[in-house]
Amino acid sequence: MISVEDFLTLKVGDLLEADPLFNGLSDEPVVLRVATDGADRKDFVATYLGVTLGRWSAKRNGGRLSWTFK
Amino acid sequence: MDFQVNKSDLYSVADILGMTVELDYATGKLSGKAERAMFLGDLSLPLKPKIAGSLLLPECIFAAVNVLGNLALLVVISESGPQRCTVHVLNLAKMDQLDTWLDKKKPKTRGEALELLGSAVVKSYRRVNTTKWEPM
Repeated sequence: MISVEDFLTLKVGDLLEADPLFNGLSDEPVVLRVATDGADRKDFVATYLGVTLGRWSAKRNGGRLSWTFK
Repeated sequence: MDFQVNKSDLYSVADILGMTVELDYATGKLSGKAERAMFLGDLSLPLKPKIAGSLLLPECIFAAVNVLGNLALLVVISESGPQRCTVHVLNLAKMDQLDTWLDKKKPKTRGEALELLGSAVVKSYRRVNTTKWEPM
């Protein structure tokens, strides 16, 4: 999981890589692109091979991040 | 049905999908679903891939699998050849409804299915052996 420090440096358009979706089939990772950039909340669009999986939202609560999937 | 399903093919597909795949010879349908997780470091997102539709023909078996969001897979097992077992990554935003696609389109071969899917096919893989796949 990304740290709060990493979270604070993320800007719109930045990319994060999650683990591959289908181990053995391909090493292609799930990619999270920062879609909206707020001080305490950022939204990510998750894609695999360019196909949209959905949106993740990370909210900062003090020193912790809580994630939700939309 | 003339074409007998090779169980190692089903197991291979089941491994990739992380699910148990069952074949009902009476209905001629495949079924299977699973609960697994996608990871971003320690963060996990639940995934529930499920076989949404299938089509069993004498020469070819098709399984359409819903994964997450617009992501789906088409698994094709044909009678023989180097492309006996293939997996095709699909973008649901570029095709008709997945769960009825096979019943409505009724492709007879892998090639016909891929032609009907057109740009909805994002990438294709073929099984090299029981553990190895490669892009087509």
